[in-house]
Amino acid sequence: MTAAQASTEVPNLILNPVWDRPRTGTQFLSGDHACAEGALYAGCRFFAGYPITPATEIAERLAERLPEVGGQYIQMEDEIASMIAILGASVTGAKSMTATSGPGFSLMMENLGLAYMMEVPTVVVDVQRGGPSTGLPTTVGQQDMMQARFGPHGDFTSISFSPQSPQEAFNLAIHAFNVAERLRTPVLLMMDEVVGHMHERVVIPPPGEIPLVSRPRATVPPEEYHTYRPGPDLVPPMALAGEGYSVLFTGLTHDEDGRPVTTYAAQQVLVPRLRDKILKNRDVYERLDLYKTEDATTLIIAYGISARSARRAVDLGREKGLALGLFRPISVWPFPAEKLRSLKNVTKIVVAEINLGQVVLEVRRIAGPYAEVVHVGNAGGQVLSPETILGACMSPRGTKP
Amino acid sequence: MAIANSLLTPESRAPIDKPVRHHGLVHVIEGRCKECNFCVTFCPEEVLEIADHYTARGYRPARVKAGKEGDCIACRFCEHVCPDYAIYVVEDTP
Amino acid sequence: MTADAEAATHQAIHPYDHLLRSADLPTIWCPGCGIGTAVGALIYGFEQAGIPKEKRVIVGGIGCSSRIVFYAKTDAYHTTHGRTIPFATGLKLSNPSLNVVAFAGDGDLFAIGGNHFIHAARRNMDILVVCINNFNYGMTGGQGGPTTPAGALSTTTPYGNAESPFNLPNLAWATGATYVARWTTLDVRRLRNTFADVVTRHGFRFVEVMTPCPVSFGKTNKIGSGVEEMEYYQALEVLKSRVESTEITKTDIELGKPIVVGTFVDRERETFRERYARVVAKARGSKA
Repeated sequence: MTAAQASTEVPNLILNPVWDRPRTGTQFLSGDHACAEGALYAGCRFFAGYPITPATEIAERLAERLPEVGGQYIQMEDEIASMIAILGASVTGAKSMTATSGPGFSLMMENLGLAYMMEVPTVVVDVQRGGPSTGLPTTVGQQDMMQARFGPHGDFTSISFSPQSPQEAFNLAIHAFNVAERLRTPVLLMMDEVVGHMHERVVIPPPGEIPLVSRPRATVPPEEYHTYRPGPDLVPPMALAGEGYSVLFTGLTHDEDGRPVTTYAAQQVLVPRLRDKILKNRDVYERLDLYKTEDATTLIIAYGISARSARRAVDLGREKGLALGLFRPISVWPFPAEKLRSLKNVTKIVVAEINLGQVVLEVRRIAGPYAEVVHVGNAGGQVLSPETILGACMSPRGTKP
Repeated sequence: MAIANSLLTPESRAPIDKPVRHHGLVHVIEGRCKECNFCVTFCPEEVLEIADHYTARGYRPARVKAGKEGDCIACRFCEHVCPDYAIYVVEDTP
Repeated sequence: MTADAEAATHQAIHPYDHLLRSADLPTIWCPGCGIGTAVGALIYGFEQAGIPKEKRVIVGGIGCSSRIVFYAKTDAYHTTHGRTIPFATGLKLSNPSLNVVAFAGDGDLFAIGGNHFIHAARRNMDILVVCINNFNYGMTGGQGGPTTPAGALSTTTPYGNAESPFNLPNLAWATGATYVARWTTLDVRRLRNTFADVVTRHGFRFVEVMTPCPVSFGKTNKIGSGVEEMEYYQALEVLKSRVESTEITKTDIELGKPIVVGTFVDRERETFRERYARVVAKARGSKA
């Protein structure tokens, strides 16, 4: 090993990103590639992953692009290792990411839970495909949405975003990193195979145009610092490895100094704070797209590729005189419940998703008391057509998948 | 010839490789001791024993045997092998 | 003990107190367990080698050994079972100036973590891996594991272990480790010196430390207390200053048979970081 490589004199471009190889301008990109570019734009310089259809292109793009900017691409031996390698990177201050699909997402659950518990910022992309199990590796599904909400064991509150286009995949990747850093949490980017593979016009602005966020850092001397003492926003400032704080991070229930305290009392302090940290900071992450909802009496709720069909269904329905609108949660978890309830004219909601009913369960929980909530979907493998969605809007009780 | 003369003094004729006998003062932090007996068993000078009294944790700690305070050679084996950081030696070789 | 001596010990400060989370002592490890000895040896290694305190990072998994993180006063990460090494990988690659030690037990590193071990060794990842081998799963009560000797008893091998254990130095050598050593906690001076040496090196370094587990393995197999288990290893130990790679299969551990300790492997191999630095140079140079 040369002295230069061993020493710290070589600039660390992982911890101190540079943007000297941007791919700015108007491009024709797949959702996967756009997501990768968004991550780079956000300052992500560490990717650990494992090939899996339909997310492989994210890894391939980053295998090419990360060395260009002095970052680190490493193909780990499995998704379990990938998920935890990105946590190891993140505790040094690096912005890190992994990308996978259903089977890999399942493998990542334990270490995703560790990220929640240790409050380590990172981004996990799931490009959903047909499941369960090996399922339909090369075709679309939106069947991991409840897993995004409840994947790891234990009580966690997750944040997830669902892009409906490659452009949005680019923008939401940046937003995902900003949110992860701001709230010291893992953030899920729940794409689907169609958005991941479709190619569309993506405009990438010059570096610096979109603001970037980095995690709150420890500023007091080590004797005064408490590893997990939250600020007023419930987020604890983060000391990085190598800063001299002798931090202690553990997945065990812990006190403000990171010491394991496996008691009822410590649990009642920690776990609700982890939940409230997310629920009380909605303004940081919540994003929503409303289309013709002002006077809508029937609402379509859809995300990802289904929202593209749903938008067309709204137009088709309006041509027929129906007061249809599209409520598109861009942040699906936590679901924008208050925004939904604020649409006072709604008496019927059709949740269109490529599964046998997942986000509809949450919608029914929120709006069931006052609206008829029906599901339109299929078991995976095909995009819902606008006509199918419209049919569910028009029929008294939705349509069977 | 001054050098040659200095080689003939009784002090200068003392063997130059005679080992200095080190000496140490053993300290036991009783609250940490778990009576594992590593230090007692492996001390090369058999300086240590288990005491008769119990600590608050219910262990009988190690201690220097009465009369053996002068025998510790500060090898520090006890200090190195103790899994609980409960014993250490302060060298006071004259 | 006299009252004066008693008073003196109350003010006693161990030389490593400032390097330990002293307020959290005594440790949870059982009386007669050797993990604390190995931890002290590692701390010595860092000190002797002059590794700056803020650069020392210890990663643990789950198990008795991994609880080093609660006692050694360094940046310390207590991760998930078996995933010590990939966490350490991400950490080291992102901040190579840090001195990263993955410190875990035989089950964590070689059962659930086995796949991660072999790949990190294959890549020659720049980390020191310390395996505390007490031949069973101690934390969960003494179950058999991948290093439990054939025929040995444990709570899940009540009729004797039907499996053969890994030979850890052999495995480490075969998968690419550049430095491999095995000691018992009784060889504490040699262990300390090994740590002082290896923390300054690069590449994938592996040290197996055999420790007593008197409450589980030692008791179940009627080896006895912590001291008796140490004496058992002492009697069986054969020190080899160098084992040729062709002989490394002769370092198996079997109940009652001689146990070879020493430094087995010490070689040079390009590390992952060196090679990836060339990748980066190529990628950045080609688009200049």
